[in-house]
Amino acid sequence: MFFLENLDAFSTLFVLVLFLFKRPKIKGVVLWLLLYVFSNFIFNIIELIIFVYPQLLGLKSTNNLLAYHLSCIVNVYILYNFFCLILHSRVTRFVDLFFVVPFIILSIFNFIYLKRTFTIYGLTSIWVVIKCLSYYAEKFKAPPKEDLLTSRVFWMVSGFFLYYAVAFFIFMAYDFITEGVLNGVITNILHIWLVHNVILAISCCFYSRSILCKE
Amino acid sequence: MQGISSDIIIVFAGTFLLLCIFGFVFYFVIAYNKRHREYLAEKEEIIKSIEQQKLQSQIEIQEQILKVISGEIHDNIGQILSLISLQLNSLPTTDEEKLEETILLLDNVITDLRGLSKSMDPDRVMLVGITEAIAHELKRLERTGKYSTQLYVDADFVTLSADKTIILYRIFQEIINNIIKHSKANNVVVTVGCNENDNFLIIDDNGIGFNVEQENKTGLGLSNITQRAKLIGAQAEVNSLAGSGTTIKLIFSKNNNYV
Repeated sequence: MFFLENLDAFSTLFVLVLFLFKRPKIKGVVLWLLLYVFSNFIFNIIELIIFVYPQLLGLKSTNNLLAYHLSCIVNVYILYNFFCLILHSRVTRFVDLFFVVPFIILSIFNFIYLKRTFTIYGLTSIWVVIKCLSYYAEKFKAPPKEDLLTSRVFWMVSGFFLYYAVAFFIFMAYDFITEGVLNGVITNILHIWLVHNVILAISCCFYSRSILCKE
Repeated sequence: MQGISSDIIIVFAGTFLLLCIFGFVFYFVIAYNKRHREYLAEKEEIIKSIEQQKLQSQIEIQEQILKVISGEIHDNIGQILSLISLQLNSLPTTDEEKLEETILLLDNVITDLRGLSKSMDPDRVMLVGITEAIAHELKRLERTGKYSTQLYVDADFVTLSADKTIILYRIFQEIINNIIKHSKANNVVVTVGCNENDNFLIIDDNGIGFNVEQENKTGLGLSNITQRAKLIGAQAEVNSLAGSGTTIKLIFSKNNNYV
């Protein structure tokens, strides 16, 4: 159970170790993937220490929402740069415009009120899923010059798509589920996070596969 | 109970969603890779076609040059040598034997040059047909005194189109050149024949032979013959063993080669 509860940290750690072992050239999409995995790993550790195991540092257990919100902003920044490198369609730029304004408003709201809300994660998930679908559409329209299964970018995008498409429902339903727990309808909110951790672990397998692809 | 069922619902929903996404990605990969294979096949076809066109152009240029040279030999050099022969005949001289020898040598040169001009001229080759052109080439070979030749022609051999005739003839000339340069043979047998489905041209020599696999890796000669044969829809088979002579067989289907 300890392993499943902390599977998110273990998965990201595995990808980082693979980076160290394989030593691919750290540039372009590889750089942004490394930053994404690294930031997720660091924030997972911070969230664990603040909320789950504060006694390890002699701290009182506290609200880790600040860490979650910061993590979301950093991820969005990294993913924005990643998708800028791989997407060339003007339509996706319009999607960014529609995403940025609500994202900034929600971020400010979250920081000021530190409310327990995952709407910002839900918004990010929709944005990433649209970006991933745009990638698949662009790939299908363009001449099929490369073998997809040996393409680094394909594995990275599929990993993001898998995680954010499933996690969207988790994030959007989280507030509802929290209320369910308070009303006694749902006994254990932990199970939804176990599902989330498994999804993240599977997407980390995709990131690992992308590192193993030749340049 | 209600708590357990809601947990199960969460897990099932998560799994179902995961399977849907996997299904989408899997379908995308299958569809894309199918297009990728078609793209590669098309690219290969285009490259093949370009190579064939390039070869065809090279052959056309070569034929043009040979035609010009053949014309020059016939019109200029041949004429001048004939004039020299006439003038020598009319010269007064004390040494008749030497003069006759010189005139004979000159006549031989004129005959050789005429023969060379005929073998170079593509129009003449197309006019007389492949069997006649091969016969002429073998006679030239025999005139050197170093080779004996035999030619067997099947009456049912189907006449080729003009452009294929000239290419086949050039392949034949290249094979003869290789025999002269490398084989150390003294006998050449040429068979122009056919069976139910195919025409074939077989050139046998009794030379020293060679290692076909080694030659395919290092030499250009055999690859040239094979490529030109492909251009006219023919297949080139080379059989040779060191010390046992060489047989080159050019096979082409009857259906593709009518005039």
